[in-house]
Amino acid sequence: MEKVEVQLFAALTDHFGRNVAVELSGDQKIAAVIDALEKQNPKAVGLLKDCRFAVNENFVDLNYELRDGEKIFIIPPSSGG
Amino acid sequence: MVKRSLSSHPQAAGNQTYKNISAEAIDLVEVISNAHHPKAGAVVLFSGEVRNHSAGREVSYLDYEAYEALADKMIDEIVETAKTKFDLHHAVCVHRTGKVAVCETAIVVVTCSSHRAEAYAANRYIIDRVKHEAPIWKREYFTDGSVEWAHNCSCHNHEQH
Repeated sequence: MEKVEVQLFAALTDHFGRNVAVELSGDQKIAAVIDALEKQNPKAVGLLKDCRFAVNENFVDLNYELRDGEKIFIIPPSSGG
Repeated sequence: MVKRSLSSHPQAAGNQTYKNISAEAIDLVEVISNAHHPKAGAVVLFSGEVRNHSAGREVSYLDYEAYEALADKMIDEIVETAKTKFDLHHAVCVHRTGKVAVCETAIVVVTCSSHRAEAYAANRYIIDRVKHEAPIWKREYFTDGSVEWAHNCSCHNHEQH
């Protein structure tokens, strides 16, 4: 079991809080993290589908394979300005 | 708000740089007075301000949250791209975080170019990209006590206005 640290923003914090740790038993892709979060809170499924993901301050896609200790930042649609 | 100053002379502007993300109030007069540039015949300042209504409801104030490290990096890239694309002499973009009251500035964009067409176009380019792309979010606090995360940018509804 690998533990992945996740940081959330804006409306996602209402569902998961600011930080959450997700345990992965299989592959370490971003998609697996999102699957785990969707199972943890089905109400967040719609919002998670619209999100972008960042690792080390770079955008990555669902197929990105997390390396040891990398934290994932989940970014809901922007509403700045 | 000021990151560093390379010149103490306000007329010698284009030299002052700002943090792209700031928890402090934005002083528009200070920003514009540092935007003069000897090569610029046009200086455009856009102030995105908090209005007292949203979708027919009365707004008390907004609270902005940012993924600061990434938002800062993205705004840097957007501003630098605009400078090259529109041949600007100077450009600044500062977005607030935290509580911003009605009539206060949530974002300022300043663009300076030799002629006005480029300054206007570049200013629009920067504000549009920052609104759509930068990881920044607003929470609306209404006068009836309710609180909601704002939905994505709704400017497609107002594009012609």
